[in-house]
Amino acid sequence: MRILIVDDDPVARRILEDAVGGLGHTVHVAHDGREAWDLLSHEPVDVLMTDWVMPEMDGLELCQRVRARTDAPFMYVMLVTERSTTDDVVDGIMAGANDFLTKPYERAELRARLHAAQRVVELERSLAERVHELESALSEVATLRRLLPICMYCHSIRNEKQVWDEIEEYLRDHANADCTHSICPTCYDHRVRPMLDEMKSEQKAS
Amino acid sequence: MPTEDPETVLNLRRLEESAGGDRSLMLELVSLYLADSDAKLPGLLAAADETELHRMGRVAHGLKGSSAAMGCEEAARAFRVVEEMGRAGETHGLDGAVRDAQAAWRRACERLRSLAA
Repeated sequence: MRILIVDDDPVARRILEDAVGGLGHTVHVAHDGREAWDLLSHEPVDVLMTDWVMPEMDGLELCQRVRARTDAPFMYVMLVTERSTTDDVVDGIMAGANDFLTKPYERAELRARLHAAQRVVELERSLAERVHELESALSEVATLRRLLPICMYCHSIRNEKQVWDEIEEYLRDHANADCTHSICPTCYDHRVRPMLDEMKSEQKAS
Repeated sequence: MPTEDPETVLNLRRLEESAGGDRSLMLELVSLYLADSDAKLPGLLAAADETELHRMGRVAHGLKGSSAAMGCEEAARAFRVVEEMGRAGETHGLDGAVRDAQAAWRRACERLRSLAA
């Protein structure tokens, strides 16, 4: 997984960087919430592991900002912090954290929690792919439904019951629109005027 | 006056766990901690002196965390007392708490230096 570690304490940062990197993950590092937020604008990340108390932007605000992004792929957020009271856990989860890792931690616990994170990330990724496939399929259906079979001679339209409707009838049934008959200028010139001219000629002749 | 239990001054098992059993990383962490805490402590002392309790609490919080990760349990506990006093706006006994934290930190640094020597 691609994991972003955020901590202003160099000791904590180095310990986590080594432990996470040692598990085969790709590690990015930021020194505070502001730097992490900037990095997230151009670096795809699967798991964000952030300290809580930091200068500039703290871990809670970073969490809230990540969750407020509506156009970004899912990101698993783990707060890595000394804060572990019930109130802290509630505040962290309400801000959008998926999990907590309490400092100082054992590497075995870190490994287990990242394993759980990976399951969720893979599930979310698979879900996003399925949603994308369904959206594409729905879009194709919508396109097909927009294609109207229309007779190239009389302009009747084949409805969903495979019956040919006159265009006025079809529009009334499907678009709730009544038609009023009129003559466009082109048809007037090509059809009506020749008829009128012919009638006038016949009258003169008689 | 805090006791000088060698195990709480430096819990070596905790430090080894943080370093994943890797001696070279352990020495790197010792070096990082010594430099970082040495740079932060004057800020804590100044904030305490100026009764800037919020700032003092934030610095103590950072020192508490890194001390705990290094296995410097006595120092971590002493910094936690200072952090909590800062958060609570408590000034009564503050000088003593800061002195205790500084002394615990010195003992921890001494043990860490001897470990790295």
